[in-house]
Amino acid sequence: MTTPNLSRRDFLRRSGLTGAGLAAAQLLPLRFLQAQTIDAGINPLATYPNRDWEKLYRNQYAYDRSFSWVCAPNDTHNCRITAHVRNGVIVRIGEQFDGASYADLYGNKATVGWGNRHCAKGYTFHRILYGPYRLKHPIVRSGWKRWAEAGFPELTRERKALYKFDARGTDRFERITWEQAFDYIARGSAAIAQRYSGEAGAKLLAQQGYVPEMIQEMGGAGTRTIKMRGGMGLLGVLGKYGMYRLCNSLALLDVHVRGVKPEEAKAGRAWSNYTWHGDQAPGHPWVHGLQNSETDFNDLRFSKLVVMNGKNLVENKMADAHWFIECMERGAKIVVIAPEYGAPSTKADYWIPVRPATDAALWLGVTRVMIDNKWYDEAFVKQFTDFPLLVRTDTLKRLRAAEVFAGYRSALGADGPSKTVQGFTDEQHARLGDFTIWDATAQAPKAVHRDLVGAAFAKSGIDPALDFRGKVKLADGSEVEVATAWNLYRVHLRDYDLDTVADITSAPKNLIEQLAKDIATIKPISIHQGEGINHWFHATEANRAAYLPIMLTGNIGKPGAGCHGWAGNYKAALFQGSKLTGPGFKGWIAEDPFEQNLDPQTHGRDIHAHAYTKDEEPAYWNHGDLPLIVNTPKEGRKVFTGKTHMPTPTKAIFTTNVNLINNAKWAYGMIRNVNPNVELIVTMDTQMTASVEHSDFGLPANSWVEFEDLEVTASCSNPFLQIWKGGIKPLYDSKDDLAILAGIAAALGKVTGDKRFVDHFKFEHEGKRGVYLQRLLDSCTTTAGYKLDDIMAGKYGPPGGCLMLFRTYPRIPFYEQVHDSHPFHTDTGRMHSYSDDPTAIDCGENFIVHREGPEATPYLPNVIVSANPLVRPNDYGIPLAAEHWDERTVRNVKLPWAEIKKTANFLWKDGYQFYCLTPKSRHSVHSSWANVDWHLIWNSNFGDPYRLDKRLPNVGEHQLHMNPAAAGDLGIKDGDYVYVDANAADRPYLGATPSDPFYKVSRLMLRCTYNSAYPYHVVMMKHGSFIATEKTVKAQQTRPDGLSLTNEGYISNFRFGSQQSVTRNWHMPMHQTDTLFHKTKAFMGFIFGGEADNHAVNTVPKECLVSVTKAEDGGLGGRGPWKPGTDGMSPGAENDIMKKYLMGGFAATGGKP
Amino acid sequence: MSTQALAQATAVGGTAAASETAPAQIGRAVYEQHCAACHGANGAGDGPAAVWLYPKPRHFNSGYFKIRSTPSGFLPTDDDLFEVITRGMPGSSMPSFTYLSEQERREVVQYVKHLSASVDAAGKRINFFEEAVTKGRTPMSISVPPEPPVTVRTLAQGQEIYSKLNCFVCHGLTGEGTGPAAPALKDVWGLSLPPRDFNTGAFRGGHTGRDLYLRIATGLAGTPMPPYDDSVVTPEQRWALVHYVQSLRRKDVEINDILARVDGLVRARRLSQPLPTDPAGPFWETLDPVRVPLSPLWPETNSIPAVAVSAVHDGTRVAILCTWRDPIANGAPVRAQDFQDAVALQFSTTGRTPFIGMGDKDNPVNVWQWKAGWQQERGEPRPDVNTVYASMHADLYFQTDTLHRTAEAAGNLLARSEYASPVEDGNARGFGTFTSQPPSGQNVAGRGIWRDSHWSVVFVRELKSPDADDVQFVAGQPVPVAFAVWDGENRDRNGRKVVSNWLKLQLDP
Repeated sequence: MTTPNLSRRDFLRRSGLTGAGLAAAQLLPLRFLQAQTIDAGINPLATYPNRDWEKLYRNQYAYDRSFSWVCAPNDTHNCRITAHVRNGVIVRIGEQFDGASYADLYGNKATVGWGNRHCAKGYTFHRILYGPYRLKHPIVRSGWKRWAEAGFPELTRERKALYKFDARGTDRFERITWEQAFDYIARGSAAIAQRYSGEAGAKLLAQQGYVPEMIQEMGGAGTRTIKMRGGMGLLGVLGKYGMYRLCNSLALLDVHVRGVKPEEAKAGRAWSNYTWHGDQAPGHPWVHGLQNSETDFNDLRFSKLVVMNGKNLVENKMADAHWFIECMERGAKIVVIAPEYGAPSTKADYWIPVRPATDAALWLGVTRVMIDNKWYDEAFVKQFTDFPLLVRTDTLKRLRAAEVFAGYRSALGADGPSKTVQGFTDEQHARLGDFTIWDATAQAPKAVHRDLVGAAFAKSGIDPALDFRGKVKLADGSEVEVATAWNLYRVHLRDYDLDTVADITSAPKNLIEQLAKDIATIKPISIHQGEGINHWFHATEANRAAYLPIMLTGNIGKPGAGCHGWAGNYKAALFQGSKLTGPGFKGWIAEDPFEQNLDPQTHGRDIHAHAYTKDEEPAYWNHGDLPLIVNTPKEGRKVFTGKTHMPTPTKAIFTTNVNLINNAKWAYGMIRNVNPNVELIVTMDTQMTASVEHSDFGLPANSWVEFEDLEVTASCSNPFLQIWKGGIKPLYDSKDDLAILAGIAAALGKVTGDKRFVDHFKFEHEGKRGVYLQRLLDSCTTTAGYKLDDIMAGKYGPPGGCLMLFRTYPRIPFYEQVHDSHPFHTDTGRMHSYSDDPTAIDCGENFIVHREGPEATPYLPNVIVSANPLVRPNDYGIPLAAEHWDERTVRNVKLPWAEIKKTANFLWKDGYQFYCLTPKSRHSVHSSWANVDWHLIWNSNFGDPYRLDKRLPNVGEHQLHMNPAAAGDLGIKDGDYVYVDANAADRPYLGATPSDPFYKVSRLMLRCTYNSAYPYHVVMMKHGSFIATEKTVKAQQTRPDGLSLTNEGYISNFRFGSQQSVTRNWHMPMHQTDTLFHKTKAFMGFIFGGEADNHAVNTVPKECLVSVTKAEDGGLGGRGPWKPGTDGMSPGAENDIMKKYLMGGFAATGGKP
Repeated sequence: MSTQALAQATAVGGTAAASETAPAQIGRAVYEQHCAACHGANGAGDGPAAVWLYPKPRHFNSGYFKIRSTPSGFLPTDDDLFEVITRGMPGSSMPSFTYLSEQERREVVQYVKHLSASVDAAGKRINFFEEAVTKGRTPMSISVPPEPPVTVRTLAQGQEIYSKLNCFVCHGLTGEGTGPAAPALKDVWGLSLPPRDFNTGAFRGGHTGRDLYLRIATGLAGTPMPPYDDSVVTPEQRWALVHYVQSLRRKDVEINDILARVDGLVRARRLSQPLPTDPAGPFWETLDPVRVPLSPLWPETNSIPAVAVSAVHDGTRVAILCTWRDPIANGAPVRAQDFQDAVALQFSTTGRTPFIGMGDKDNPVNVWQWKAGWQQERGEPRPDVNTVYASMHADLYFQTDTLHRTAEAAGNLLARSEYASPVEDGNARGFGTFTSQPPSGQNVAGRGIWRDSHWSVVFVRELKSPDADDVQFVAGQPVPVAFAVWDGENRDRNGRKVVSNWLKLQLDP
């Protein structure tokens, strides 16, 4: 209750939502439940005399109307569901059961099996909608407004303090009108662009301490300091990704500020989504060149062996988990690889326990068993993988055809799939060249180009030797040693024998062998990797390694097969452009602001797309606004961040729907050390969040059910295109995301006098958003041919719904590769076990290796397990004792496992001896629903709506799962509050000292809960919770009820700190190359190097070690132990009855208990 | 009244065995009306009420009788059984049946004996009492020597014997029934059975010296209490032990309530002055209340032993005051684990004395229950969820209009957000049949006040009610009435309560 003086009864009486409800009640006879006369001695409960009372329930469930909408949080489901409205209020939300009605242009239909798509989050959406934590009207930070009124003076140290840029979290907010907000934001943006443009701007930035590479990257354009993030891609292509359209329109601002020609104009930087959330499986582009492999979930039913590797399909794929349950019913085998015995393990035929982040070693061990036993499909290996390709043992590069054959001319045809379908250009071909194979028949090298895969390769007559090593004479007359990758792997895998792998991973040997055997003998198999893999620094290697058994067995491109990455959703690729259809998604976000098409009848293909923006990974902001530059003993100051990734200084941040600051690993470091240098932070959201609390502007967006015009989304795990609008009027003074973006653009038009700013959102201003939507449909390979009106009329299923136009149903990644012999999206056209990328070679990752983490390891940080002479890592002369995070990141050292076992991580020695897993909770989606009371109550052992213990920040409390023995050894009882600390050198934030009040705010304290499912050195807390802030800490320490609820309506899940107290950003060099050749995200074409959400720095929040110390007693009010921990029924304190129960003692049938 | 039983006997005659004599028919009729609900139609201790009672009703088919004057291993005498029916078993749900005539009680004794039978392996029914006669084991009382005077010496001797016989192992050193073996004690049917708490002074088989002497000498069949016959203690020692056990009584006031002789009549004086409706009014002090002993249906510590009842009328309305001691007032329940204080009057609407447990199918009862919580709902300050849980928090309450408060919308009297009266007026024909009268029939007013650790509750109603289900009061015509009290602090609710036996309310002309 928000009004403390109002009693619950009064509240109930006063808040009767409507008069109609009362009237309806009055129509009912009041004596339904009463026997009219006393019947002779009959128990009234024994019979069922009168059913009239059922009318009451029918009345309760009655509604005036309903509407269909799409629940579009950042999950992979996007369920279309129904809101039931009574008197203008959504009273309940229900399912549609219409999966079977979805169809496509060609009459293909989905299956009824998709029905029942809905989870508890969607069911409770109206609690968010009508709940007390909404952002209700535009707000501006008081200090920012004063800065604006002072004419945006340069922010010196004194002025930062004066206007509270260095303490945003303590400032006040003022309500303003939308017009005022747009005007302020436009003027602020223009002032920032002006200040940081040109020579003067560069000089000022240098004075402020930015590294020259970042300043140079700006190319003199102040607009490049403006960063925009269209929150969680494709959750709304128009409203959310419209942010990038706004970002591209800043080219107009640049022209206004610098007076440059349009072709020289530079817009803002477009911040990524998935990679920054650590959701990508970053190894995928290294193996097959595609951003990520993902399949429709109804493909799971075809799998006969499902391997969940660090993936929890039970808790995190709720709406569609039934597909994997179904494959259990169909007799498939389930295997789970994870450190803990978790929810998916309960479904598994066997669970392989592993030490965290050693999965790459496990897969290398499995691969070795398979190769040693000849458990592989030789034809597939030869046709589709790089195993037969020759590698030079001197340079570690693949042997190019041009090196061997004098005057080599490639046979790659202009009519092959590389050129006709995949957009492979001559320039790219010239840079990459062709490759070589040892022909066993001819006993000579043979050239292969990238179209020579699959059947085409088989037809070529080449007889590739798999296991070859020998000398080859080059065209220049010299002789070099070469070997097939296969031959090299046979050497490489000597380090990964079964005993060693069991020792590295702590997995039982028999289960490793069993897994190898199952993969070899069962078809099809699918491997699903999730956050449990992707949130580690060396996820790249674990992803690549999991593909090795797939490559050996050809389990790809077929129903039920594949290796998929499932942490997030790589949805942007769903709206794929092509030469045939047009610019696709880019036609929307990157329409040329200098060549706007204002004809509503224009076909989407004819939109001129030109990106004046450049992608940027927020990870750099998140790293102290720094690229990865290390002063190395051997090579001096070395820049590891590729030019294609290079960030610019961050002076303005615009986000929508992402809760950026809350979700920033190392959030307190951002709040304390980085954001004071940012001059404008604009956050659009439906709710009051920690990000809004630390912004200059909070702009309330309409929720999914309040949308006033159309929005569109699709998912990577189902085939549905979903278009919808809201069905109720906005509750507050909020706007559709796109209307907000258009408003900002219009205000920029006023400030600059450039009408094109207004025109850039012309159809939004005119209320004809559908024009943009039709253009999008026109120009994507997956939607071309659809007419918006038809879709909305229900021609292809429920109004607004239809099937995406995929090649197969279910959508199967790499179907074309396997069935049509199209090349994989790599330079060789084959799946890669080996990489000759220079960064990979420097990192010692040309072969797939297991590396200990740069932080989360008991051993030497970042060490490579290898004695292979062809693994030649560059350590840049950095000593083994170096402790700086960036030094640990780039120090590449290889050692055999026996040597590694003798080493020790300095952090481990300092008492940081727990891996800290931070998986997703089933009760939230990222940070959505993290303040819905019902979910909080379910989400932990400490949920209590009555809040008997006033220490609870809300009605629930975040908890740290801990092995009872480990907790006991530290004197921590079940339910105690504990401090969780990571490396004090950099966390919670750089420069933290216990005397700083902000240290208290940011140091993580939460409840410990005993959980025997976790190994001794592993603790777990769920991520996606709402962080404690300056104001929530003040609130819980001063409010009579102790809630962590601020006056603005933000409520935290923690008393102090958050999961972000122990996380930080890590700049992974393998994520920052300029050289990796791979498919671009949203168009049929290739790129080298960086692209947001595709090949960019992935955040890796699990990469940390923590120490745990007791903070307070867990008992009520901090006195004594937490009672449920002492009742004999809880982990670590089981009484005899509980032990008997756990041993199945009560389930005995017929025999002895 | 014998007439009532005879009428019943006639009524059920059709089902009685043709060979039954008229007296036997009376015994059966009385048993079926007043005993079978608990003890079961065939005496198997399995009547429908048994599940709600603890200790469980005796199982006559077992042949075990606790209260006997006969040696261990023998059946009780007719007088033993008669005494139990007459006295009841104080502190348990077995009431005193003094409202039955002596003849009825004696016939019930015979019927109970008739039911005390088992079936042998051959399927032959064997009556224990008949078999005892044929085997020459006719029940005979043991002789009880005259009670000697109590002296300090005999008390000391008693204490010594108490220790020597290990009485403390079950009954505890101070006699409160908390000896080390107490938690593990079970009866022959495997049910936990706490040993007697001597501090209360209440004994199932009577509290006189002779009663206790017999319990010690003959034991309590079916329980862990063994006989201590002359081979173990002498009669003199046994008397010393009796006196020592009696000296352990502490709760004199309450025991006086329990043991007070009740004449079974509550007289309502006719007043010429205005009827006092204020429970705290000084007028009530001028009356001498009837003290009505109460027995728990489910034993609990500190159960309320008695309620004091006064009644007056003015020719139009009757006012009945109930006062009882309850150190903690429990009002409207807020938490799931909360219960409210309450008191109820149960009237026979036929003038006959029906089964004490909420009447029976031929004799409906009219029940008035005053509830502390309902009274609080009527505008008094009352705790609510957010006052009990000062820090509670919720996002929002959905659908809080009347329609969505289902029970209230359905007209459930108990779910109303406001009450016309704190007294619920309802009817029952046996337990489990209690039904509220419709709102239009709710015509009993009432008010309670809690002060000085006592509740005083006044019920007021017109003497004549137009409602056919209501009890009618006519001067000079006694109405059977019984009382029940609920102690919220003791988690009393519904059938978990303390109850009186039948009394009569008679209005002076």
